[in-house]
Amino acid sequence: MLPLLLRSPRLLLAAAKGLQQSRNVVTNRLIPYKQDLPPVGGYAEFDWNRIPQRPFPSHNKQFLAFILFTFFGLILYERGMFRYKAQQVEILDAKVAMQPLLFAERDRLYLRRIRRNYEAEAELMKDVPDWEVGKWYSEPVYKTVHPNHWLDPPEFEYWAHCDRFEYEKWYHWWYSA
Amino acid sequence: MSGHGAFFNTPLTDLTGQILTQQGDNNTNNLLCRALELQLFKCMEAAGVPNYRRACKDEFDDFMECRTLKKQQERSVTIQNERIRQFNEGTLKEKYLHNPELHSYGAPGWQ
Repeated sequence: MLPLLLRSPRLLLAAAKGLQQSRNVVTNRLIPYKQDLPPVGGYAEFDWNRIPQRPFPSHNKQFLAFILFTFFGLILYERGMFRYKAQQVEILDAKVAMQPLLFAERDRLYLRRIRRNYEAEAELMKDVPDWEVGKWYSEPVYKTVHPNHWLDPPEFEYWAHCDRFEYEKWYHWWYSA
Repeated sequence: MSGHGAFFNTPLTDLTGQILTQQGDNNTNNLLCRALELQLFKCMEAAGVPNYRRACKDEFDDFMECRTLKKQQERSVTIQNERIRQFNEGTLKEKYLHNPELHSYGAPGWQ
């Protein structure tokens, strides 16, 4: 508001005038007063008569209007629902189309992390005697499972090289966020 | 299956037999335990009652490892202790790796 006032001199003048008018001026001057009187010819007669209600549309007309408005609303609703469902189908199509990409990215991150864990373990435990990577010392975790059989690690082993507090902090992330 | 079967079969034992084993569990997280338990049962059946403790030790250990994850936990704890020890010694530069991406593993519907 203030920049507008400063930019336009007319508005600025009007504001100044308003301020001047609203100021309380005290004078010694005699101010002529005007007696407040009734209008010429006197006041109008007060109407004591009852004002009847204007006639309302009949029951048939009301019912007809109800039917008309209802079907008009239904038509609008169905048009809107058609549009909404078409949008939902399109969104679902987009999700379905993106799912392989997202799954592939997720699996890539998973395998990269497992590789990183493997390298970190090999680097960390190289001086520990009898330690083999992926085993409990020289004993395999599952003795009868073929070593080439893929086994997903448990979550705590996936986070084994991280802060324990971080793992416990994020463990329930999917179920709380 | 020796040792895991009922003395006599009725519809009730058929219904409740699954809760004693892993074979009725359709949870996808439990597939390995189911397979290992089945191998254990087969081994027990082949070896017979007095011999199965010695003959099926590997199968039993694998099954218990799948159920309890004891060996995996000991492995993780050993790695973490070694990591902290080396960091306190000064031979390790970074105490921890960065966190894995949260959506990369363990999310609902991961499998």
